[in-house]
Amino acid sequence: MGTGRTVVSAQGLRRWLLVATVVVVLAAIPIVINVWPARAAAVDPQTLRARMAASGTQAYQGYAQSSGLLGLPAIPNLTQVTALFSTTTEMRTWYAARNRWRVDVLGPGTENDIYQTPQAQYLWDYGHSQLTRIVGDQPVRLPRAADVTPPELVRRLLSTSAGDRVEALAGRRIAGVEAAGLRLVPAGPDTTVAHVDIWADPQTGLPLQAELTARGGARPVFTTRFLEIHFSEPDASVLTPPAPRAGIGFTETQAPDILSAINQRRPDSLPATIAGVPRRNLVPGLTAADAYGNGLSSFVVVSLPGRFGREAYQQISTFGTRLDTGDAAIISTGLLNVLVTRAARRTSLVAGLVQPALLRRVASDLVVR
Amino acid sequence: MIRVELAKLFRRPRTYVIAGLLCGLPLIVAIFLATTKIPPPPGQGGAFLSAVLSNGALYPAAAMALVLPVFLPVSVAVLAGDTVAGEAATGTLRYLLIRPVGRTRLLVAKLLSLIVFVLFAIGAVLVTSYITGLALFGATTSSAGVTLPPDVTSLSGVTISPAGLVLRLLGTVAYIVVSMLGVAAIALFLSTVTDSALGAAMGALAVLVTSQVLVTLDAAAAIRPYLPTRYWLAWIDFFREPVLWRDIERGAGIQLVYLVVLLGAAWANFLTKDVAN
Repeated sequence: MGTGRTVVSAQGLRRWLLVATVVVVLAAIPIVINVWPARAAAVDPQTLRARMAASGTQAYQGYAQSSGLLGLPAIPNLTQVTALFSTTTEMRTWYAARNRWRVDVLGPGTENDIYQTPQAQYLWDYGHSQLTRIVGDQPVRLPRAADVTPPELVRRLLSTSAGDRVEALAGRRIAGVEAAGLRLVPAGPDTTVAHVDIWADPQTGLPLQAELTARGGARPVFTTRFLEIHFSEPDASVLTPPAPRAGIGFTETQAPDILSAINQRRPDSLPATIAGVPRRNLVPGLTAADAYGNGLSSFVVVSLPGRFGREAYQQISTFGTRLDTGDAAIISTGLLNVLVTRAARRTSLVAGLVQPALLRRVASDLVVR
Repeated sequence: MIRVELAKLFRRPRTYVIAGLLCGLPLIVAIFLATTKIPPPPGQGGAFLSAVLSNGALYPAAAMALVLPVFLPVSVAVLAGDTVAGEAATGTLRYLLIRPVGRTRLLVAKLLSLIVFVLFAIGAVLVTSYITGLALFGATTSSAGVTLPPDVTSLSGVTISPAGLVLRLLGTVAYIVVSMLGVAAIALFLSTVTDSALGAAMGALAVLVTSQVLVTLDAAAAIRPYLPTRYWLAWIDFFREPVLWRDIERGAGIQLVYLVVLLGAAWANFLTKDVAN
């Protein structure tokens, strides 16, 4: 008949059509889930903000992921901190109360866990097969993964930004929850943060996702979000740290990281103001480090002793830009900026979500000190 | 038909050669580790390798981490690529189909024989690496005089009992079999497209290598969850406490999707394919 179609080719066509239909249906499932509009309950931004700040009593269990695009180089003794803001961190988290929680940082074949119990804090490092019990309070310590889970990061940001403007944001489905959103716009001119977009469960106020966008940037450079969340109290057995036993290392310490160790050595006291910005005196008696300024315009100054200081200065001055004001170098990432200065054998490390211009003024002050 | 394919699988020396090679790699690594006592730094090298020096019972898991990324998928791709294309190249496919054998049944029998091969190969690796681990890295003797493996420390620091370890290893085997189904499906489909077994195997490996490269690329994050190799190492999550099911479930799901789609494509292509050789 001229069409060239046979019974066999028609059967073949039907089979391929069936396969193509299966492919289309399977491919459409994630797309439909992603574009399906979220219908979060409308909550006034100020009310939502208040609920977020008060969400510390809400128990939850979840799987969270933070990812930073800051591209910070590895600084000696601070690689875990720089990695936190430059790579993706996968976390499992169980939270019963402020003094009973656990956060696992997952890697391929590795795991680093933090347990908070009413009595003490425990660190488990599978790679080194090491359990550490932290004795007493930690007046100062380095940032760690547990600080960048959405609830912790958002509550910390909100606690330091009382005067900043909040705007309503469209709802979004996060980890299966119809989340309500708000945008935090910093008032201070010295910060690099253009805005922080936050989504939270409208009923409990538990923050589920936060995105930090730098001034002049179109995309967030730091994001933390839940991929799974359950609003239920974790089982007590999950919150119980491993018991010390033969075959694993066990130590007790008051200074689990380099910063708390430096603080115990009591280096020089930090100045009351730097570049006109007053010291916060966060913890009485703290000598190694402190914050200056308020809100997102604040920065942290750490006084590094001897070898630690030399190594940090060498690394940052290699990757960063040397400043004219004496021995000083700066690394700019658009969001987080890091300054290192050396004067009279004293090294100061300064970091914050602040403009490089402010850090240059800080450098001038620290170098002539 | 299935019995014929299984008999063919176990009659061929190459099945045992491939299984022997898969068992050989963990053995070589174990000998080096046991003699030098130099484990890889934490977080580097194969998973669990830094832990096996103090606990030989965990060596099967370390062996899985050694063979899974390259050796096992290459073996499966070579065998799966040969299933139809090999028969076509040697001229036996035509005679096979002259017998009253449905083409769909033939494809299913080929796939089942591949699954049996994967189970056989993984079983061989587990048994040999368990014996290797206990022999080179240690075991304990109970009061009854029975040699027992020591308790294993999970990634989360808590102890896994020997019974718990067996359950987790069984879960690992099941998961790796499912992971290899995706590889088998890719190579099986390509095997129905070409008459060159090598071409089908190379095509499947090209897909896997591309997937592995894209998995590590942040710019490809949007498609990462759908790549066939994205969740291959999720079986490690069986050794966390509690077991992290998230990636295991996703990994099994994505492999089943690849299996359905590519097996469907192989079926659609093979049923109307002209067998000219």
